[in-house]
Amino acid sequence: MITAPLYVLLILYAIFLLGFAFFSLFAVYHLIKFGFRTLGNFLMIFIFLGMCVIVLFVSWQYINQIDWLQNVVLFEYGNATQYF
Amino acid sequence: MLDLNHLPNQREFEKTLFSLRRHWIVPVAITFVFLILVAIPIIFYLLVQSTNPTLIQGTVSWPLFVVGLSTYALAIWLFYFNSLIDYYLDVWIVTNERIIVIEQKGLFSRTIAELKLYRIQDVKAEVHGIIPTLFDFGHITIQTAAEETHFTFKQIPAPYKISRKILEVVEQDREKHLDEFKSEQTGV
Repeated sequence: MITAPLYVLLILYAIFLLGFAFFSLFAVYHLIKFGFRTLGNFLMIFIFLGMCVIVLFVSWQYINQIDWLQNVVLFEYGNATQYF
Repeated sequence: MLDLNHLPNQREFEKTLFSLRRHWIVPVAITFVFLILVAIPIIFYLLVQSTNPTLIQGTVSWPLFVVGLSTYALAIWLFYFNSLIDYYLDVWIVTNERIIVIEQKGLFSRTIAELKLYRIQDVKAEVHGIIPTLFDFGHITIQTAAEETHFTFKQIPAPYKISRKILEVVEQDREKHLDEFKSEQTGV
């Protein structure tokens, strides 16, 4: 029987979040450096960051309820024999 | 940040006449695509709930669904925001001296060009297709006497009106720079 801890999924998610943070910061940097000094520009940055915080907060609420330390069966020898 | 009243290398008597962005239909189209992308997981969730609700309640499927949905939501939000930035940062600023062309191509490419009004030789407006004709937007191409001869600004609202306006400004500026213009034309 081959098993893997569920937190592997969380590690992959964390890697995605790192990439997301990099591109998000770069996008905000663009607006701060090259955008116009207008209310619309500030509003865009605020809405973007606000939405990110909301999505991450809601995600955290659900992620927090899961037991990430449990092992998941990836492959069971007993089931595999039926194919041979 | 850029201020329309304080442009880079602005001369004393230079003032901003107008600025141009692509037609409003562009951000509307981007928003439409974004809304479709938002609807996909909602439809998927409703379908699963109505056919096999236990499918996303397993020990693996539920964490996979939570992490997958969060990843998807953040990814489409970033895609939407970057597309809007692309739209927002593409701008033409027309002053009584020059046209400043700022083009953002994705996150890592940006072009800024300046065209002196008196060096502009030709302004062409084009509208092709049903939707551009209905919503009155198209491309404006400016030909100059400079090294980089063509500048095209795509999906400009009211291109015919704008091209006429640019030509008027060019004529006014050419009168101001008559001597410079003549010497450039004759090469003397």
